[in-house]
Amino acid sequence: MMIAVLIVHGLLAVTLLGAITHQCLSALRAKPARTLSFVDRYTSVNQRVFTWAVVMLYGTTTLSGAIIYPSYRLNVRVPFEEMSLGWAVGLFELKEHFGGLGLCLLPLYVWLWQPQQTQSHARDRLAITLILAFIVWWDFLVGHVLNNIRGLP
Amino acid sequence: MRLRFSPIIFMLAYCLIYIAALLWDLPAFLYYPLHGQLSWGPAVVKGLGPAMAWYGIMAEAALVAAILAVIVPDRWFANRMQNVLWTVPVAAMLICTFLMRTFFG
Repeated sequence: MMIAVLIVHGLLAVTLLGAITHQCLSALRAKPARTLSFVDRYTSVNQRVFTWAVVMLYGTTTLSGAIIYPSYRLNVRVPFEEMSLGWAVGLFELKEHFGGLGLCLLPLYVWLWQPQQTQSHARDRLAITLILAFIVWWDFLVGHVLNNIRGLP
Repeated sequence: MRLRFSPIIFMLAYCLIYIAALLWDLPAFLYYPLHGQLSWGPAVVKGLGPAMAWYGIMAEAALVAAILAVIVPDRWFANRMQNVLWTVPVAAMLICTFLMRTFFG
């Protein structure tokens, strides 16, 4: 059962990673696309359409992570401690806390991407989106590395 | 009176409460995965195996921040913190990293 949830968690994380990265790169590219290159096509999407997809994916990814977390605590963290892999435990602690802090950014993220805030909070909008992207990438990579060291039984 | 949820106040309050709970080890409850039990407050109950504080920290931060987001007006923060709102979660993440440094020593 936990393996199935872990796989769903990983698939949701990949989808989230794609959505937030696409939105970030598009938001960072200030100039309108002039050519039909892959990069121009990739970054010329409507950035707003990603907002609710990111929120739903972040929420469901965190929820599925919260479901498998007790299994990690018992079956992965304890062996990490026995193997003196304190750094691995530390990386997961950061993943957990960054993920938890990311949740509080979601209402602000939705608010900042509303058309009314386009002019007044441009820097906040880009920065909060980049912070969310950093959290998603960090959590994804740390989860992947730790699962390679010792996966759930 | 019309109640309005402020995402700015929610983010500010959540970050502050989360970091305070982490700093002073004050989760609302602890979860013991070995027995599937909860205990209220930060005190660890012996004999129940490893305790998890993350759920308790998130629950208390979300609950208190949601209440504050409804009752505290956000006009002052929205004006004064325009385009520097992002510094609060960055500071919270840096404090988290500092608090976790013992794992890497």
